[in-house]
Amino acid sequence: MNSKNLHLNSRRFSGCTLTGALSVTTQVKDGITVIHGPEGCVHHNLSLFHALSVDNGSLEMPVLSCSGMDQERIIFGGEDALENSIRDAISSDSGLKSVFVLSTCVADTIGDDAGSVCSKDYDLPVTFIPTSGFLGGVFQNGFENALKNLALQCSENVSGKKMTVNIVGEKNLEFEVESNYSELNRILELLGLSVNIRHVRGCKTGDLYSVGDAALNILRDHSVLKVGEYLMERYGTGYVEGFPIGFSGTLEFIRKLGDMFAMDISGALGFEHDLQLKIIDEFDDICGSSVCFIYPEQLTIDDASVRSVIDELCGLFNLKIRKDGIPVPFPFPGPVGSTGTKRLLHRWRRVLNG
Amino acid sequence: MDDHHYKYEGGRACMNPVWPCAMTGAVSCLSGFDDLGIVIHGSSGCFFYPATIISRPLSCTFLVEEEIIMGTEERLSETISEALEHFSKVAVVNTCVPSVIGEDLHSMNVPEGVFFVDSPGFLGNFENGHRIAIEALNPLVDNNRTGVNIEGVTQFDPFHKGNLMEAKRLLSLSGINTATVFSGGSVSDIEKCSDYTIGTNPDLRGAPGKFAGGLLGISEVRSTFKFLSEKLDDPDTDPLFRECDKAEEMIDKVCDKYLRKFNPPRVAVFGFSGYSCKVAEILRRSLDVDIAAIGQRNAGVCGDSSYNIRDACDIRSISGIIEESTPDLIIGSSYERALAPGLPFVGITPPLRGIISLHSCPLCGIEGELWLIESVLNACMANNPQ
Repeated sequence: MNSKNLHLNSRRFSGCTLTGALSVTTQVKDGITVIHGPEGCVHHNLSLFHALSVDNGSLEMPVLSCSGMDQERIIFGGEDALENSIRDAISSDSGLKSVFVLSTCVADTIGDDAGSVCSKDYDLPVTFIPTSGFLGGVFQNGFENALKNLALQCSENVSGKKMTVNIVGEKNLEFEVESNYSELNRILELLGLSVNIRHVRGCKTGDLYSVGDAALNILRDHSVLKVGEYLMERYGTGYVEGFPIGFSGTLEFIRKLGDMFAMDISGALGFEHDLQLKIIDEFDDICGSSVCFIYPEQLTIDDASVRSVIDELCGLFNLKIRKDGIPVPFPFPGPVGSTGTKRLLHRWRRVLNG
Repeated sequence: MDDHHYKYEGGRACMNPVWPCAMTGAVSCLSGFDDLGIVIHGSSGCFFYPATIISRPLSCTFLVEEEIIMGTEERLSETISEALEHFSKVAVVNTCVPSVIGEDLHSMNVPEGVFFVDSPGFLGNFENGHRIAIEALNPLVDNNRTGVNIEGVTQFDPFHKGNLMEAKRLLSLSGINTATVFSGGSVSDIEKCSDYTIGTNPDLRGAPGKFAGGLLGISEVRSTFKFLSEKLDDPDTDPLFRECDKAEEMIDKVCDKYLRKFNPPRVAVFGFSGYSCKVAEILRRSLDVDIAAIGQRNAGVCGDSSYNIRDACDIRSISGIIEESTPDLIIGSSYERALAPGLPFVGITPPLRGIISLHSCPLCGIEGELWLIESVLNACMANNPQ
């Protein structure tokens, strides 16, 4: 193997599986996550979640337990410590309903079998989510594995589909996660639909058992396509590939849901179209401006929805993309719904009028 | 020091550890040297945390699985070469997995100016990493070097810049030069340290030569500079002692005024062991406070056994201390603030999330004690308006 080929490997910079999985498991409010690894790894992640909570005006902290892998356990093995940590976690909180166990690169390197420790008898369900730090992939792999493993808790014998949808794979570390959900929920209400569960955000262990009950899964974006496929295979639930992005994307989303639920959407479509016209009218002062976009360094994908937002808004407001134009915020992640697009236009106008 | 003692309290597993690992301690220490390149030899997961808390460029090998199987040497060599384009000296800080697989980095054929710091996270806590980093720098005393070294400065500490400025100011006020800073300025100063050192944080020691004393609190400033005036040629400490007198008068005045109207608070202090004990001592002396508990993040350097000192390295132990000691003022980090949201709070311990702080505030020295007293009184009065 020529490792020189690996130097530009984007996986190098794509974060840790542990963080990806934690972004899911910490959303189960009556669950606890036990990490099999050194305290330093756990602290890195706790610090991140604490910072995000404070940024969002919350003082809530996730509960992360640690097997405390130190030099001695690295030499002699840490499986006993993991088992003790799981039992300690279960006995520490009578309101606890589930335990999620994640492994680190250190545990993987010394060959500890965290999966077998989790398969022992405990008083609560203990779900092992393979992560293995950077040896198990990147942030996205941890995120996907957690979404799939938490869906495993549901029985495959789904009683009957309801006229509800699941929201699957919300990016819990995303700053706009709640405003995106609010917008999506507004659109669903226009259609008379309601949310079954958010898989996985702000839920309880009991909620996870109903993931198969919804008639449709709405994926956050194409990065969780594999999770959508998995849920379709397991529960027969179809999916929409992503949240509505931009003005025309929102109308298209409404049409798609109308087709899937075989419902009359003319009222919802008319309402949304009127709303969009009002927004466009509100921003007519930016018409004809020269703009440019600075691509974020981390954007390694050729995201079609982002490009369509740029094309759409430049067309609507006759914006000219020029090298010497005024740099405006790049629409990534794409603005969700009509009100998300309105917030993007506010950010653009702030710069253009500045 | 028995690190194990800090991981388990009463045989229970660590819940939400709040203190960084040895790797972070080493990186934070080394980052103070402006002309030293730092390469973290590990994965992106290990890199992101120090990179977010330390405001200077850091390099990383960003290891992937294939390199753990095939060997990391080629990748490390390439990263070192890139770092050497910007720095004449480069420290390579090892992380857990490269350390566990046992690669012998020290036998690598590396260019001059590159040295290794073997402080993987599992070796212990932040202070261990700081100590290992200073040992790896191999500091030497130069008997011809005048002035006094300053130690205890690390980037992770929100007071590091203010402490350094205050320590330099106090030395300058006494006509004494600053020699080597651990860690700050040029890394080349490491080879020509003065024979005397003063400290801004008793938990972060390691400078060579003789320790003249610390700077936490005005009384410690007095004793340290009295010692220096006896050992060094012709320092003029009179201006410094006059400033100490004046500051103490100001503190006496405001504390007496406060106590005419309010009861002293019952305080729980959380943080570096040394900082916490000194803060407790200052507040007890100045304001007659009741020190309900001291929650220390690391092995204790506090010599006063009259305090209720507990280990506070994870959220469970911190919650227990707050619940049992029932303080009405919390001094600590934003973790403690999150656990006791209704109580008045003064932040001295990282992290201090949600608090905007742009200026360089000291915790040590004369200015540090003044800041502490004013912060405590303001926090208590804001919660007790009359």
